[in-house]
Amino acid sequence: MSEAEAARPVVLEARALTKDYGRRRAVDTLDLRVHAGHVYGFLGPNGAGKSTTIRMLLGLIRPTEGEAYVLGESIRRRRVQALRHVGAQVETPAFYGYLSGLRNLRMLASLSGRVTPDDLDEVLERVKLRGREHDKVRTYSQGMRMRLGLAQALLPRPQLLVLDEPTNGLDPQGMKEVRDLVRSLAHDEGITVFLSSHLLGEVQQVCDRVAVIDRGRLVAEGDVATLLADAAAGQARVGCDRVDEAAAVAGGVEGVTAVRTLEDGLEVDLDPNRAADLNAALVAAGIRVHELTPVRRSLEEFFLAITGGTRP
Amino acid sequence: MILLVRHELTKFYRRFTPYVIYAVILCFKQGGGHHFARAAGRGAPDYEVVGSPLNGVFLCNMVLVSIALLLPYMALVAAGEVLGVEGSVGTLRTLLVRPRSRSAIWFAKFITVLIYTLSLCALMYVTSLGLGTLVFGRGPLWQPTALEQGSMVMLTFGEATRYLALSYAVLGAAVFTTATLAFCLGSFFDSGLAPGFTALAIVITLQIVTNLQFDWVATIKPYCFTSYLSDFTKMMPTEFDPVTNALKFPREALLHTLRACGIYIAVFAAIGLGRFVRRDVTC
Repeated sequence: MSEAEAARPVVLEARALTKDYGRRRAVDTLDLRVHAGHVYGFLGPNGAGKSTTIRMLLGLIRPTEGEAYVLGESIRRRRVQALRHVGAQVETPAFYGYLSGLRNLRMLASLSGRVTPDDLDEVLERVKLRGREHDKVRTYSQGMRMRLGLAQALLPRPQLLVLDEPTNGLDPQGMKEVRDLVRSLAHDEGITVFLSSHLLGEVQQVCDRVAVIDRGRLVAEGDVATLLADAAAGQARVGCDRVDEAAAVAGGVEGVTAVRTLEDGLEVDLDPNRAADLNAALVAAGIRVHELTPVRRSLEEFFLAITGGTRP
Repeated sequence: MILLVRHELTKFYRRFTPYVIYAVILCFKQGGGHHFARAAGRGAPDYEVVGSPLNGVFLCNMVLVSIALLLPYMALVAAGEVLGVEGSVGTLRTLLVRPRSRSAIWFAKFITVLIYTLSLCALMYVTSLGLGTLVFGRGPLWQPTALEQGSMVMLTFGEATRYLALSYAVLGAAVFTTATLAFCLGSFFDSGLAPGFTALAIVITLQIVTNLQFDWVATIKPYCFTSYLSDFTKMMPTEFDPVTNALKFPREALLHTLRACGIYIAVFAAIGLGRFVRRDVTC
């Protein structure tokens, strides 16, 4: 994180947040700090404690130990003040099916403050529910309910938006629209977004920073770009012919600690300063090298590596 | 708080259940009226009734006696839904991430239950008195219990309407006590039906137990809230004040019933609210 980013106020913070259910520890001394203006991704395999953490951050679940702070206020001691400028969608949005979408929105939004008809119009337009707002929610599809969930989260004009799996049930076009909306909210309007998602590609595209939890513990946290770069540091991909022969040559180069063969080349762990030596050795052995690049990991590969192969 | 109560009333009265219960009570009331007509036909052996005792207040009184059996069960089914259903469909979490205190949300729902319970009693009172008067006309109310004691107290139409209103209000207080139990159980269940049916089971069990002919039952009976469901019968005056010759207002009975119901409501509410503000919302 740059110095300028670090100087931004912390809008969401977990300090040693812990939750026990009987003898099972669902969340284990979790520390998180989300700075203003970030889109912060929250990842973890199923049962890792993501939902429990989000619920603790929003005051739905009482932590066994530790404390959560939202916009500088303790969620345990000053919940109402803490949630005053927060919009949230927790898991699948639930509404009163016997009321219209508009009525649901009006009702929920009025609990967060004054809402004008213009605010409602704007948010309905934004989530593309214009024209269906007078229909009863029980007639809505899953995707429409997700959009309505986003709308109710946006209506208090929040400083912090907490979204739990916001693209669940949306078609690819809908998912892209939500991604664009999240980016626009963060970059154009300065809203901080904390989102959990099981779609790692989505998180990689949208988030500035991510936290990964596994079995209730924080296992990685940082800028997406830095995390991926660090994860791949000291690894290089070599595109070449005669793969088996190349592997034998590479294994003998000083500074190379591991060699893995691929279909069209090698992946090697090496001291980055020895990359030129590796290239020279391969060429000297008559192997045609057409690529020598640092490994770039996707967030998915990174995630699988640190959580032992369990997808979120 | 007014905004919250308004929202709760909107949600409550947009559902099906309250109207079903209103309809059931109105239908049952018709049954009660016929029952009275048959009973009145028998007359009392020591008195010769000149003219028809059948009039608006008499009908209203008979409806009160008939409907009092059904009303507590109806009310607690609806009351149990108010909180429990929010947990079962997940709207509770949508509601509780708003900047409103849990206790304010709970009290708004509690007030909705109170309004609904009182509306049930008011509906019965107004429709039975209104329709009875419209069909059978105005007239005095003869107290059947007084007849059985060998004396007779006759209330004018005006007096009867006032004392009947008091009786309906006392029945409302007792019914609200059972409704409070069902509502507060909603803090323990994420289900629309479980709180109402659990409360129903408790009420029926207590009613059966308190009707058993044992000494120990007589000892515990005054402490069971179900005992107060029939206290409305004590609100009709059965004697005159010897000094003023006015009807004797049942002050002691009224205070006793209200005090007992108040204590039960406070205890149930404290347990329900305590649970609601501390519970983890995992639904």
